[in-house]
Amino acid sequence: MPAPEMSHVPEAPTLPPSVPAARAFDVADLYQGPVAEPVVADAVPLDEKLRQAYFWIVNQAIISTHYDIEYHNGPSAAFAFGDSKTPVSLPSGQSYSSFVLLPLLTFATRRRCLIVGGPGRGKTASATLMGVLAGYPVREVRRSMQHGHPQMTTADLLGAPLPADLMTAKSADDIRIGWRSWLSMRVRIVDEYNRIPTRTQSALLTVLGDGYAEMFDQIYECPPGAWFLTANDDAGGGTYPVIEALRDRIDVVVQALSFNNRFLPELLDRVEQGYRPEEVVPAQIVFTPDELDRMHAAILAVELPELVRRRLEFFASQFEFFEPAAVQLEYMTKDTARLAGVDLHLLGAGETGRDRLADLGTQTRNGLSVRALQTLLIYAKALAFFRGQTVVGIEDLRHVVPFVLHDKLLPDLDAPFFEVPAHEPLRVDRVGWIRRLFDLSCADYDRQDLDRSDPVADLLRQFRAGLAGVTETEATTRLEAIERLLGEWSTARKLYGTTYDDILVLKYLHQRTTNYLAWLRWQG
Amino acid sequence: MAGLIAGPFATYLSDHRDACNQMVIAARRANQRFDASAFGSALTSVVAPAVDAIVASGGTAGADAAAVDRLCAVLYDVSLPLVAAGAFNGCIAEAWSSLLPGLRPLVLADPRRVVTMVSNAVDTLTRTPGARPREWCARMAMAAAHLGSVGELESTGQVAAWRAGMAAYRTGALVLAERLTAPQLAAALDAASADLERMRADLWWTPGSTERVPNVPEIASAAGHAPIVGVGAFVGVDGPFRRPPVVALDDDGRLVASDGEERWFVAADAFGSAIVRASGSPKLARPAKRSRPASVHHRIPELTSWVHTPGAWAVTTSLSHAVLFVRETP
Repeated sequence: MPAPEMSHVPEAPTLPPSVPAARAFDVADLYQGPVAEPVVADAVPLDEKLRQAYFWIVNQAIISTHYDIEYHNGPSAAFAFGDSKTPVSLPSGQSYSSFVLLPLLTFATRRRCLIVGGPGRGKTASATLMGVLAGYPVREVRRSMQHGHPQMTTADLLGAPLPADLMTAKSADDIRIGWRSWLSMRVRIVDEYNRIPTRTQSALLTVLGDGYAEMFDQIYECPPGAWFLTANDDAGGGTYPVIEALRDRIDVVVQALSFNNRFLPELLDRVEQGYRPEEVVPAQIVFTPDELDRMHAAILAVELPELVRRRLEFFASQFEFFEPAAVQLEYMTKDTARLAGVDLHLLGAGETGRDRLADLGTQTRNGLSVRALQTLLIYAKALAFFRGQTVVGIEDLRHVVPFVLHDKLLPDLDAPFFEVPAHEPLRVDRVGWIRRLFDLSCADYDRQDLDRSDPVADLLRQFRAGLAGVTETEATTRLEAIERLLGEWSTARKLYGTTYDDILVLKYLHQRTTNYLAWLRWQG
Repeated sequence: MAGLIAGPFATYLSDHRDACNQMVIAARRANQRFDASAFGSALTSVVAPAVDAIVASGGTAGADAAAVDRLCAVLYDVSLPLVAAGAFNGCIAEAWSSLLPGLRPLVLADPRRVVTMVSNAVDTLTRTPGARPREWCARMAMAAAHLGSVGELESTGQVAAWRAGMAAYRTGALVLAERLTAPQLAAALDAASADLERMRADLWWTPGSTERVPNVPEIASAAGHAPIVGVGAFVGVDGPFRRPPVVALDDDGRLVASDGEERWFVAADAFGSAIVRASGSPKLARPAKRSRPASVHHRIPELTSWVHTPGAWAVTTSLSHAVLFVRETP
């Protein structure tokens, strides 16, 4: 029999504001007391409902004690353990477990999440819970779950042509397909996706990446929905290697961390009473399709301020630049070397002039794609929304970066950074490494005082205001300013990724302004 | 030995035995202090008699079985958190047995809302120092026959709560009082609509009384002088103030007391007094440059602040941890 208390969602707000609202005497307080009024579904804001879902999962269903996404409101107590001085901080702000939070943000943003980890750590249970949160009965979620296996065919995944049509059709257009019902769901789960054969992975790629399925010239458009994929081993240990394009379409990767054995009594209770958490999800935390639509729109409406955006731009610009790959600036990228099939280290041997330890670009084998950047923006907004904020904070961005870039930013383990003894664990701790990268990037950003002094940002702002109405004199002044800036940099700066991006921007601005000036002069 | 449960509630328990047992198990798991035996006693001594009384109060017009079933379910369900909170005390139990039968049509129409409102209201009054829950129940019992909807019950209950000692509700209750019918107003406030204007102008006037004796404890009263009442005390004797407070009005005209560390809204009138922590740091209005009130100055030494309120001066002195209300002579 299920434990009834599991279906309880506390009435207390999950995230009381740090500055409480001014309380005054209110006659309505008379009817506040130990007996709770029935909750009206619409009365709960969607971010509060999402937090209620999070806390129910983390405290009742998955029971995760790993609060690795830390927020601090003021001073926090910190301790160091062992010879390695492993830091342990007790966050003063509300903090979260990535294993539960990231799938939930994926659910809210309708993106694609890969959950990795050893057997029995709650990967499939977590994905199933997301299906139940979307309003599907547990049985339907389980039935619709795709289990990867080495014999899985495209027909297993997508559906099969109707036999009668195969016999009578005069053209492929006449063959109707019996599409699998899971394609129409708002939560789609593929268990152990790295056991799917390569050919079937390609079909999955089309559905997952482009949102439609294709068979016999028939197209099935899938409605917007979240994807959850699981893998026991994401480092190539599956039955089949995961094709790169499919891996690239996955938005976040999150690791299912181990169960804390102090919570064995909770497991004992489940064993004795014979229930599973996904079977007793409280109705209060189940989202209707309309709520999911509204929540998605609300997430997109969260503001990303320029100061946060600039830090992301600065961070992202560190990685693509690779000076030895070309003689022309535009082609000096890691992608140029990759396309040529040449090892970066063979080209980089003769490179001089830059501090290879401080240059963050040397730590990676690739740069960031546009898709990765868009995903970062969406998850940062989603985390801010989840925390009840209307504006993304730098910490929101910092916390999503490692999970979004987990499989997208490939470390160069031969880089000098990883040879430092203290950085040894970062060879395997991808989350810690990327978070460190972001912190180092922000420290460099602060060192350069770019929040207050960023001439390229000023020129871009000026340009984005529009060229219409700019006089010839003003245009000439702008060109001179660009040339002066490049002149200063050419004598005082070495080429780093961030400088590379800025030089290209200045060249772009110079070109646009030059064209405008030519047009002005042609007009007479 | 507790008596056996009989009647419609016994039937309900019998029909829903598994679900009821499950709810008790859930309550015990959710709250270690939940006392199952106390709950059992409450079912016998309060819930079952309340069901009987509510059903019987309709006379020959018996309630339909579904409505009684719904009533039993609500009373059972609501009594769980009350027992868990240790709030199923004498006053709430009395309200269930004495007030709910009078509200029979409303209870049967919307049992969850009515029972929740009555229970929470009595609990709030019970927990407020100086408030008088039994007086509230008596007033609501008088008003019961004149309440046509749950909305009217809600408004009348709020006005009656002010009269029963919840001075904090004064502003809101005066607004609500204007909407009450004459019988509702008489039951809740002992007042007619014509009295409301005077009540608004004088915090210390009681309708139907020539006396202006407040329900707030008096600190000093001497012949020929209006009594002085004190609100608040030193933190060491369960008051809110660490140091003798000072008073001022905030931008919204509310009386605010501060001990230098925290601010509190203070209310006091003929019916009671209240202090609520002003957690949002209300902005205080600039104090008017007024000389000390002569009627107060000679009676209370070492004044530190003073604010004029309708019918009284609210003052503080360095010799007391209370905010003192000195009534003006009529």
